[in-house]
Amino acid sequence: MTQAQLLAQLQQIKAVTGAQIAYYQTDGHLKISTDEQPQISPEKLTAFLSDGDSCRYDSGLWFFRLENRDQILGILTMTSCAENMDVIGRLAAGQFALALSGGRDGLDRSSFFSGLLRGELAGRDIIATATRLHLDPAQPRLVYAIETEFPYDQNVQQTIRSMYPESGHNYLISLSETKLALLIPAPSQNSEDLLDVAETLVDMLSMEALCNARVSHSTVVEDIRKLPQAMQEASAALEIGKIFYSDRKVNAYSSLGIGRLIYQLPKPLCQIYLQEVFGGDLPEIFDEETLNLVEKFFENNLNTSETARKLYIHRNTLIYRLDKIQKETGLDLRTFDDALMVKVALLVRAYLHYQK
Amino acid sequence: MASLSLKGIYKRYPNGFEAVKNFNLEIADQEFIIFVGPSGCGKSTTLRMVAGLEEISEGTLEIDGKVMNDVEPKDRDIAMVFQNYALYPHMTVYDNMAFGLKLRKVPKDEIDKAVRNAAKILDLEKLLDRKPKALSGGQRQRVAMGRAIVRSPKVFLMDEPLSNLDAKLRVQMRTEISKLHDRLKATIIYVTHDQTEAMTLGTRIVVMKDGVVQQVDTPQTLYDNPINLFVAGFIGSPQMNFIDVTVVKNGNGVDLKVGPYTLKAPADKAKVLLEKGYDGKTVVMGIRPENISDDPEVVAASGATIEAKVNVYELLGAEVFLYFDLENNPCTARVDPHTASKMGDTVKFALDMKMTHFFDKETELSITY
Repeated sequence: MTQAQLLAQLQQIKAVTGAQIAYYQTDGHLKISTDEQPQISPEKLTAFLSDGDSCRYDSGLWFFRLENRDQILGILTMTSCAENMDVIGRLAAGQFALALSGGRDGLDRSSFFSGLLRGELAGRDIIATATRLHLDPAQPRLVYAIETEFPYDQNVQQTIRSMYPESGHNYLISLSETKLALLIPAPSQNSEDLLDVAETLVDMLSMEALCNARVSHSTVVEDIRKLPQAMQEASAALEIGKIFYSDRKVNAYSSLGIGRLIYQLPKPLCQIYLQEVFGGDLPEIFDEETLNLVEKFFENNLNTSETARKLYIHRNTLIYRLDKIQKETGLDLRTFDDALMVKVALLVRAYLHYQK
Repeated sequence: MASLSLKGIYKRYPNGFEAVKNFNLEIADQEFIIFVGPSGCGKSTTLRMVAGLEEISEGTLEIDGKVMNDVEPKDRDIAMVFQNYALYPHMTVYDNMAFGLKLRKVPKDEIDKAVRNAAKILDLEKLLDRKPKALSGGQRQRVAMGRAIVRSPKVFLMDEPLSNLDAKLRVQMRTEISKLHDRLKATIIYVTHDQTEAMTLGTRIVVMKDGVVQQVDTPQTLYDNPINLFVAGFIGSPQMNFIDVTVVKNGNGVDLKVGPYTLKAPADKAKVLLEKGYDGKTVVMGIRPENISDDPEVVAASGATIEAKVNVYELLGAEVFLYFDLENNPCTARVDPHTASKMGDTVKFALDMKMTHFFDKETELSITY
């Protein structure tokens, strides 16, 4: 929708309500107004959005949040002392938000990305639409998939939006009542930096929204047409992480290791493999303590001294336990072949357990 | 503030993995309790169960005598400070600290009072109008603490809050947290994998391994009387030396054989070793690095000496660590910085046998605890 069309919308609302009206963008900058407006600092406006209120009266001015389909579009301010101004203003804000969303060939940026990540824009000319929306199709971006343990509330969205304000680059999209997707420009190409973002999201949601969440991220894509694929990667990382790395709250699609491979295997093949390695289910010797020891041994590249140090046990104790495993199962985990076989078998077992 | 009671707490995941097993602990009001242990030992999971972020599979959690198992996190009156925090980039320090209260729709005047009070405690009063990018690392960390303080919770839960800081700042913030505990008179549960942090901050420490509480005690008692090989190895840096020795009865006393050396066990420990039937058996003898000396005068006066080649000499300024092997048991001695011993030297060491600990080789429990 053009600037003139938007102004016409505001003039119509003014004619009905008698109020002076202004439309501010999400970053707090004035976009369009019916008359000269009082000076409002962008901080005050963004603070209003951060607070999560849908309307507020402050120093003779009404503030209304412009929102459509969970996407914040900006703020509408109105100067009027009319009775029921909160109700009138909300109706006006709703109508204006619809007009805003309905512009640009029926798609605004938020709706565009929302549709793109959900795979709903497959048939459209994505590049042409992106160009029309003044989006750089080649900007490096990535998707974070966020899953909360219970249906998320407004606090969850508010926390994420405050960390990544929707200023034209960051988009938070609701996928289901427990799943959200956060699309942001890649902060770097460094995998540790990308994982840091995920870890911070998890901890911030715990601290601020008191919510337990798992977060995974896609690879960085430099072609906007690949964003649906990035969304799939982030979702897959979430799922695979739950099966194979249940102790981790964050997962990167690029480092799912052998788990991603096993995830593709048919169930009968997995059962045959377990039969081959363990002769059926996991032998009794693999109690939790032993499983932890074995995992640590693998993590430390089959190095007994290093593993003993990490487990704070004597090296001889570790050797004694490895000997015991060998005696009972015939598998010597100090040899590469046996270690590999057991490592894969434990992952296959976790996969079958999850499928049950 | 509040007291907590954790009774028979278990955490089981859908795949059957038990992350925490039979966790029992009484935490007194205003206590600063530390959960410490290696990664994956269940300390963070326990903290998250207290917070309500993880469901308790079995057992009871009480805060001030009220069962909290099914109470929502927001209704538990707790505040958390975790390792990976972020300050909201477009908000001032004031708004960053007020954010959590705004989410909870706390009235503005109450928010203002809480923020200014927290800012005073944390010495952030002059920085309230600044944006995060204008703050130093320490100031940012204090703002993160401030977010928790403004809530005036019954219990503070901190999960490795200093892990992302550099070594210098970590030491500085450790002191700040200690002072904060004194000022707030708060009940704090603090998770760390760093035993130095645990020893310096906690009034009591809970040492965990594989989801099981190993020992709960004051820092000094844990250091002096570890209950098992794990606690002995985990608490203290460099860690306690462990040497396999064979117990041999000699009259009323006990000789400890290690390779060509015969060491005399102290009378009280010899008595216990014999009473518990360890004559002729191999046990693990533990001795801390500071109880091994290369001082010629000490060596000359000692009845328990060994000889070993120094593999590594490490000067730390106020002390020197000498690394050597004793019959395939890697050992460390913490000695005077002016020692004459150098790398490659064959050195006589005296062991202070009064300070030794003995552990069962199979059960790994302390024999003399």
